[in-house]
Amino acid sequence: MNASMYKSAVKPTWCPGCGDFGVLAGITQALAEMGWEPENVVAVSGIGCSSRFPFFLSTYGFHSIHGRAVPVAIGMRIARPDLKVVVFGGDGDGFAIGGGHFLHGARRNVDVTYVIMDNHIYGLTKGQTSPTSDLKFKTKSTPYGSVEPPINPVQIAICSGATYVARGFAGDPKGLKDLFVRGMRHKGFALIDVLSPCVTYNRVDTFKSFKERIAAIPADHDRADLSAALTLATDPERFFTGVLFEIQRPVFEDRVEALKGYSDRSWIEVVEDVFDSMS
Amino acid sequence: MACREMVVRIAGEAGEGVISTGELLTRAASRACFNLMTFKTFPAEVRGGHAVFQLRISCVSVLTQGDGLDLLVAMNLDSWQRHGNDLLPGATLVYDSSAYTPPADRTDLRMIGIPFQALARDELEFELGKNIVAVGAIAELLGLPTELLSAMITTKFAKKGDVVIQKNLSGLDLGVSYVRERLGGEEALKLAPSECTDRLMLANGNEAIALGAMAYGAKHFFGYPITPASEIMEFMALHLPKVGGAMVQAEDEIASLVMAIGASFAGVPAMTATSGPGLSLMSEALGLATMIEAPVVIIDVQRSGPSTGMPTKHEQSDLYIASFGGHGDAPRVVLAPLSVRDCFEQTIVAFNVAESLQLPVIVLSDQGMAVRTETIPRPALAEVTRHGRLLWDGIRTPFHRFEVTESGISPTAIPGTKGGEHVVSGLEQNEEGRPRYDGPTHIAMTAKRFRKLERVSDLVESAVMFGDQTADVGVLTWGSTAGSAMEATPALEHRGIKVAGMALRLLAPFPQADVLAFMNARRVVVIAEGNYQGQLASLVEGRQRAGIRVVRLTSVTGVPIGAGEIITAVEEAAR
Repeated sequence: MNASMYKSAVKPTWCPGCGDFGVLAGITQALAEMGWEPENVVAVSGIGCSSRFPFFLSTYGFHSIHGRAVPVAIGMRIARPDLKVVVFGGDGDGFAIGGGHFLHGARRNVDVTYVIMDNHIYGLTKGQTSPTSDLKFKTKSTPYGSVEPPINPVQIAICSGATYVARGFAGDPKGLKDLFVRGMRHKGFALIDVLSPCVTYNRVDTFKSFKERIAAIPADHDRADLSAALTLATDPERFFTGVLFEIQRPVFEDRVEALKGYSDRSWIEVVEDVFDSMS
Repeated sequence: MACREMVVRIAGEAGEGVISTGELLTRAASRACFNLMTFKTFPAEVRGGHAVFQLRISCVSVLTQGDGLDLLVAMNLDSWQRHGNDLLPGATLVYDSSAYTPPADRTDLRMIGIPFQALARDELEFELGKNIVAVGAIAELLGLPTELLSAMITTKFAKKGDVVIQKNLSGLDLGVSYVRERLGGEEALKLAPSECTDRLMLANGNEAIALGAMAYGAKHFFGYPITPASEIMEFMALHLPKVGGAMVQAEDEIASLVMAIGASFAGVPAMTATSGPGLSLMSEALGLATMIEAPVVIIDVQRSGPSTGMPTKHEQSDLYIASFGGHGDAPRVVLAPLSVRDCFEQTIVAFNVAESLQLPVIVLSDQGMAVRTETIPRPALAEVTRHGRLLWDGIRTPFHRFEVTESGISPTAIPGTKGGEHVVSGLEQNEEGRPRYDGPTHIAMTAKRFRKLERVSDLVESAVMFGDQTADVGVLTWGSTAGSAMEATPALEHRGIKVAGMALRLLAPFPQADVLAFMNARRVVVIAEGNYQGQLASLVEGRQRAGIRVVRLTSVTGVPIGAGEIITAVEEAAR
């Protein structure tokens, strides 16, 4: 398996220099490293620049509607736990319109890998403030500066029940690849929030500015320590990149599976029993 | 004894066992192969207030819950006062003679006093057992086999131990014996044994839908609690795991439909159920299912009003949103079952349509059907029609998910199929599934999606015709109002008005030609439906041949339109 076999013939629609190219490179390398057959992988997304991701992969893909990628993925995993499901989207898709679904995906601990390309702006709609935009950030929808404090995706993920939470940077595809592989190997809801600059509509959060604020997670950080993870996640100055939090907890699919009463009887016989109970 | 039918109402103080009395009798009658329709009301409060259980028993199929009563069992004076006037001339009142004596002025009635309370207290030494004494007495009056009831009581109280079982069996026997010995084997109310040979199930509309889905073989349900549809979700939660399936309670209705669409993409038949407010939320995802050509079944158990409206009340006012709700030109199929039995059958049809045409199918049930029970003939599961999706053969390459075909139906590939990898999207797409925004592609793909609707008539019986189709007076209706319309027809004929009836169960694609052909053969057409705007009438009025009058019978009372209202409207219109 090599990375190029996971790329489709479709040329990405992103602007030259967009951070999402780094994510695409990291993902195709990660898929190659996992060795997953393209036919067993489904790339799911919502709406936004980064949500175009499935078109650029050679796997099965589901480019859904705005904010709803996580429930699409849950439906797939419940119907077909054999499929590998990777979810892609932006900060607006995941934390504004899709915020409720994100929370419930995390608390259920569905076994999916969720890659957020976090550029602190709405790019596809040409430059409005997003849930991760900083206070006072000026955009077309906030000409006097944003009056809303941002949310912190990794903090929310940790607090909502996600069992693998990482932060990455689009300027470091190699580092991203490692975070993705680890997230794909993780059994449970794996969130990777990737700082992925929008080079067209966000002149504040750039490769340069992100790079200045990025810091490596200290080597002695205990990833199973919730408080330590939150401390790093919420550092007011620095973006700690790497795996912030990682624990094991039963996944939703297994809990659902455990309810199933398998026997050697056919489903028709079981339905006959249900019919009997109604007569 | 000839075949006859009876409308029986049991009324009393809530908490006295009126509902369980009715349910025991109903189940016994169902097992004795009588056709039934029941309806019950009880106060919202847990204790106190007035409870009513009504059952209509027949050896032929039953269309409505019935208007006039043949038998009233009034457990207290209040119940007699509330319901006495609903008794038909010559009908029977059974009253608890240890509780009260009804006034003697109703000489048109047969009055039978049975001291339920005293029997329970003195002979059973179990005052709360009066309802089981009543069960025995009523069963004996109607001629229902008491051994069926003994068996049901034994099962019902199995967990409570032998003492409780024996107490209840003695109570049952006390009621039976009282009628046999003290009333000299009262014969007047006895039903002839049913000659039916079907195996029957007894279910309300919600259960019938869930049973239909299980009969089709659906194993994946995604839902969100909402009155009056939650029961479908609860039924699925209980039973789907047993067939290796799953019910997921989503975080909202948007998620429940989207999860179902995700499951459908992964290759399984999938469904959700909701009521009006949920369907409103699902509008965008409905368009997604249309666009990516995902089979999915959506049940809408309609309730009253816009917004939160009257959640526990009946209405048929979601025809518009089901048929037309959402943005863009979005083909979907809308079915409206005509009865509880039809809820079962049309849910199977809905899956067949969704899977074979790869589109969303909405089934419009309603609160009225959700709360009443009917008997449903039990199908041989092996013989149930089950259409699946047209799958890519794996040979013809390259595979194009949205290949434009004559029928509009494109072979699909399910994840896991090598060589079938493709992307689906809410964006307009070309045959390969790549986003395209040009006119010719959008024209071709829109036409392709709509072309599939031409196959609907092969899969759905769009209407049921009833009455005398040569009559110049017509009744046109849809969904659950069909029962009242069908019941009104012979009554009107009895009064000298011949009526041609048409009950629509296919609302989208709207069978315009059939409806106009029906209307154009009349002088006047009454269109009966449970909404304010005349949502069906507005689709056809003005399109019929000149000179044919349309009378709208609309109703937003919160309860289903009764046969009586239809009779009155037709009598007036036919003049």
